[in-house]
Amino acid sequence: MKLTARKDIALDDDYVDVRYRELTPEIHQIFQICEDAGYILLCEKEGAQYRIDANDVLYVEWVDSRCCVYTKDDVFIMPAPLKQMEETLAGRHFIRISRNVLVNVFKVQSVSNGLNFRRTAEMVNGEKIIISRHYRGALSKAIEHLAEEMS
Amino acid sequence: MNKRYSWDRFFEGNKFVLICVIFTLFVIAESVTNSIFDTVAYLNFEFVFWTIALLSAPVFTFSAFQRLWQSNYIAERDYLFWVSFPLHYLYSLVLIMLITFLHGFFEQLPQGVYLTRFITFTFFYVLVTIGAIVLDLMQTEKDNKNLSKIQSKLKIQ
Repeated sequence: MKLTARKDIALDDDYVDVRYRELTPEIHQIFQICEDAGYILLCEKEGAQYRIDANDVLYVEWVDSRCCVYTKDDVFIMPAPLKQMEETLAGRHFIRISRNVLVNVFKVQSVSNGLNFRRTAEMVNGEKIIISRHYRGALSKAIEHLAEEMS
Repeated sequence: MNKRYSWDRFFEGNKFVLICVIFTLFVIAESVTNSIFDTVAYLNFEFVFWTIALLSAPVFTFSAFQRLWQSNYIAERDYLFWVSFPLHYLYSLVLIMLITFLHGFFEQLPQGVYLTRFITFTFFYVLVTIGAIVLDLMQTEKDNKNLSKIQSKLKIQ
């Protein structure tokens, strides 16, 4: 398989052009990687619609029967149940850390125990989110799995 | 069938409560009949008693205790640890004293058995609690190491 990559600063957006003779599992995998890399969430904010890249999302919180999508310095609304969001974002390193919060593992800076033995996750923007005891094990496994995958 | 209402989920969530209930029933039955383990009754009782008490202590505190009381209010608040631990300790202590009291109806117990059990239970409870806290801190340390690995890899990319 030949691979050509060109840097073009004049482009409005990044794009990948795939040319193939037959749709093999490998080509399908390339499609999958490209789709996963830029998964877009259609969110709302003050009546306007926004396209938010899932990779830019720090965490998703279920508040007042809707999902609030938190990026580094903004909050958007997504009118979808948290369960649905969890299923959609499951393959994109999002994991549930409490009954109403899904967190992007890539955006977790550190975890710490408080004096009350409540564990909190510090995000890359300094925000702190409580991790429920019930979901601690799952988060630890996800972090370990990701670290192994990346090493 | 929805897993929420299945037996699997019931046992998964309440197995330790179930163990303690079975144990309590066993102790009562054993005390009532007093013939099942006639010769080694007291030894057997002591062994099972402390094994179950020690096994159930941390688990009760962290999960089954909350389920037992169905108290999401306590679980979602910051004072979780400082409320649930003393409550669980008192709950377990009352349970132990109650079983001892019932046991005393059917068998002559040594003098000062209440005090002995109070001291032994408190000692092991503190020991198990410290163990649970240390394990928790170790897990946090491990998570942080893995998170720094992830963050450093992301920075390189």
